[in-house]
Amino acid sequence: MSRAWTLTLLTGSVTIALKGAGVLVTAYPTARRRASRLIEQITPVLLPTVLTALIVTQVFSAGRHLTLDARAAGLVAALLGTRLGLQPVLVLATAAAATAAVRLIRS
Amino acid sequence: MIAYASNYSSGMRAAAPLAFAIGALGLAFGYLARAAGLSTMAAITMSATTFAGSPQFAAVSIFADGGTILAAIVAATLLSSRFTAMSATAAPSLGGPFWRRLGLSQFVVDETWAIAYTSDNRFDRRLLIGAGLTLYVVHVGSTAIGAVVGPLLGNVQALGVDAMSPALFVVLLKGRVASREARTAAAIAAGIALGTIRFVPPGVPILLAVAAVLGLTLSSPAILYGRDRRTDF
Repeated sequence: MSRAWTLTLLTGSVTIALKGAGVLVTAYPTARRRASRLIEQITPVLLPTVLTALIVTQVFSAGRHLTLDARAAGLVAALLGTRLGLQPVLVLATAAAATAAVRLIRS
Repeated sequence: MIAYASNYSSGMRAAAPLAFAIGALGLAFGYLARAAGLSTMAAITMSATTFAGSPQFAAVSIFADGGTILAAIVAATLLSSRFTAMSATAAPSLGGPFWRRLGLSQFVVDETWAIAYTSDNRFDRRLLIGAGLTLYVVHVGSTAIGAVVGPLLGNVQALGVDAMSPALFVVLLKGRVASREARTAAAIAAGIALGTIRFVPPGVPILLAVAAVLGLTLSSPAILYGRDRRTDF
């Protein structure tokens, strides 16, 4: 199997399993209590951590190189858009437009 | 929170405004997946099985950047782990035999979960199904279009498509950094990710950031929560 298909099938099965696990733990009250306590403790910091790390690496890196390019303009636009309370689809469009604009100017 | 009547069409109507964002993301995902080296069938399969934007974008972007499959899967797993918590809260309301609840739990994503969680803290199965079916069709359909049309457009990098995935994460981050501990965690994550990009393979900075923050949360919560909250643990 190609690497691309391995990635595809693993990502799919992991997510299917994790969604199903929620149903599974509720079948056992003790496991449910223990799981919900751990989830409660970790979720508030886990999500901001993963999301921030993803944003930083997607915007400021190419392979193993630190970069500062048009994607940074997209990030600023996305931050401003969310701050202004724009609809998600508009935030995405603004980010793409800002990045495109900087690329156009610099090309 | 807006209250919806408990039926399938209310779920569909509630999902309609979100369908545009999901559709735009699907198009972008289809394009990026092909650019990362996935076939059209693989891109569609990933959307059809995963049915969640963030783990898909994480997996494909790490893969495209030359990261290992392990790093890509771990990042996707971390992002999908919240669905366990969401489907656990939904499970008792899904009704029916175990296998059916298991099937319905596959409709749980951020958007459908938020729609189906009514203002009186009840989880509505019909709203979940209505919203879930709608967004599922949009998600898989737009991925297919993006995957087929994307390569025909040649290099659409000029259009800033690669800025949409981080923008999605910014949208998801909104409302999750209100607390002191969340902001500290985000700051630590940003610092570690930026500081390690040059030294480890793509994808690994994310894992290092997570390891550091979880390590701190469980060992010395005072750093994240402030001294006054130490007794909580």
